[in-house]
Amino acid sequence: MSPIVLLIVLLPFLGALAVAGLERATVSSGRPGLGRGVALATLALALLLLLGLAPWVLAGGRPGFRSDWLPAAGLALSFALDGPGLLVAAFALAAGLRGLARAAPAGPLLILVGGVTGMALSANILILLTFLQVAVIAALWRAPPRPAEPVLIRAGAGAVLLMAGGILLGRAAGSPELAQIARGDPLALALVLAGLLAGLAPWPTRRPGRHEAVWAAATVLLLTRLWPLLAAAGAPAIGGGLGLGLLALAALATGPRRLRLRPVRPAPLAVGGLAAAALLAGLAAFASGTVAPGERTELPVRGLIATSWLVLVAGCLALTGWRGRREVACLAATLPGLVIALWFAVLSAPDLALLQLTISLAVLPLLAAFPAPPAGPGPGWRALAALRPARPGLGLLCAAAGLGLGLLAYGLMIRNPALAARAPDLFAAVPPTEAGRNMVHAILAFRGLDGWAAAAALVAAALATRAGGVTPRAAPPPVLLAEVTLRVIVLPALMVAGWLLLRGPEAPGGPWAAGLLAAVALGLPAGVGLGAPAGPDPRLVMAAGLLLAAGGWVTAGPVADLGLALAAAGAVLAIRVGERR
Amino acid sequence: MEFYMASVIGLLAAVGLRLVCEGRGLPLLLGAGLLSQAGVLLLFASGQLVRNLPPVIGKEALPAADPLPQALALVAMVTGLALTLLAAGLALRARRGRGR
Repeated sequence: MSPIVLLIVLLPFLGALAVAGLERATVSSGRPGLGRGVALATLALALLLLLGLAPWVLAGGRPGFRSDWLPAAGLALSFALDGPGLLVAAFALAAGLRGLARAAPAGPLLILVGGVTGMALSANILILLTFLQVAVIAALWRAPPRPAEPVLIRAGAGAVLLMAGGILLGRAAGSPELAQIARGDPLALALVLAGLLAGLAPWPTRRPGRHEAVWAAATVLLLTRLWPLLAAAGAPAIGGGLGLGLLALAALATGPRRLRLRPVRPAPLAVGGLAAAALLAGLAAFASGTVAPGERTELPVRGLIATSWLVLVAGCLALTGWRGRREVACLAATLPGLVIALWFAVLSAPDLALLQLTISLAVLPLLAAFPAPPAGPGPGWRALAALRPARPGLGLLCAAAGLGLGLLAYGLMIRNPALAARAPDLFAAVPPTEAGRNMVHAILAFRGLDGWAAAAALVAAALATRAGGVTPRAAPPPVLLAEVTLRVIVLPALMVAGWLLLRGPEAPGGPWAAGLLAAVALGLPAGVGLGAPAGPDPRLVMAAGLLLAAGGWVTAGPVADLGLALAAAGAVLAIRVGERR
Repeated sequence: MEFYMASVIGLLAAVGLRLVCEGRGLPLLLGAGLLSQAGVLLLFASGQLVRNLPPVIGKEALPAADPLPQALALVAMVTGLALTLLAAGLALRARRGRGR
């Protein structure tokens, strides 16, 4: 028992009471600084007390305080301090001090800080949620600009869901003490997560402020407290659900939001640090290997590889010093991708070769759709053209970073013992009847979450950029021959995509290459100005793809592949087609 | 072959980083693409380079290329594509915002 913990929780609230009384008393006397001084003192004292307990916590202790409140209901006023709680409470108190120093109104700020501190130190889920309500109300309590009603509604809904979830969890465990809640009730966990989602939702568009900070703190605390339950209930599914929900909410919010962008230039210092780190890693990898230099014979290089290497190097060098047309730069940037696809095919990675090829195909029209700069060298292009003479020091730093990465790769390949071919082991772990013969596909199917996360990243990127919309450049009126050729290409290309999709488990191919190829084929006619884009709304395609892929975790097999392919195709189509202004 | 691969990784990273340092527009887009390609190749090279042993195996266990780096590289390629799409969209929106 350590009453200090209770004192830390109570201090901000006592300070708020004192401030309220003092403000009333000092309005007439004209000394408004007194209340602020008291507020600063209480927060500083609480922070000092908290930091005084820190060594105890870091040594593994859990200073706590407990007093029965409603024993019949199992409700006790119980607090305990652990690592995450210490972190959040210290952060809240420090942020409160900073706010006071910036002349924020003292009363609401003290209550807000007290709420978050109480949340961090609660050892009882119901007490924790009560403090969350206090903090939320204090965060929204602002006199002149009333909080938008949607914010109030979702904060209230989140609070109700959380409270219901907390009560259910407490009942399932027989006690609402966090230490005793060890059994996950799926419904209760779903309620808790839904409540957190409602609170965290980036909607309606607001600049992140105190309210969002309170919910972020609550999420951190609840996730660390309930982590064993979440792990037992299948964390991937919950993480996926959480991500899906946030993604959907973000998609709703992307429409009206306006984005202000400034160029972000990495400082020379950052590039220098990167270069130093890369060089160190490269030297370490090169020096620490167990295979003596020269002991391993390198793979012989054929003429094809040497020629393509020259092409790739020429493409890269053209990019650094080219002063010509934009199209040439796009072509130069595509060359490395095509060469690398060839190398993948030579080096026993047919899946990677196919994917690299389709990615190059999908990105090239995007680069071509990039709006032409105004007459004369535009800002973007002038920057590219001026690369060679401008800032040679920065160029040297970049070259050093590249040298480091190259050394790292060379050291890994030359000086380290061959990793025993893992295919047989993996093959034994995953029965062939379920996994198919293509081991790369089998690994990805086995690790379904990775693939789904990658698809979600694609969809998120497409959604985030969609409001801007890439308008294809107006193409010259199509020649009949070109039109016929295009129309003839599209259908076979779609058939090839379907073939790639179906053969994925057994042979090189798979959902990603299939989806991207289908998107390229479908987007091609619209991309060169042959009529409006056909097919369903890409957003629908993406949503269906993500849902199917998520369902594919459960059923496994071709459903997940189809979902991933749809998500990839929808994402590329959404960008390529865009919205015409 | 190993030397060729390592030199390409270094070159892609250096050129990509230099282009990203421009901070906007087409150079940023192209640079991000090159950087992510260097990362994918580094992942792939962390297995060993082998020829004519694709990790597609028959009923009996045969020696084959390590499929794990390939799977990692595959996921990295997809996320790299997402990054490129995002960079393109943001660059275009910034351009629109300036009235072009």
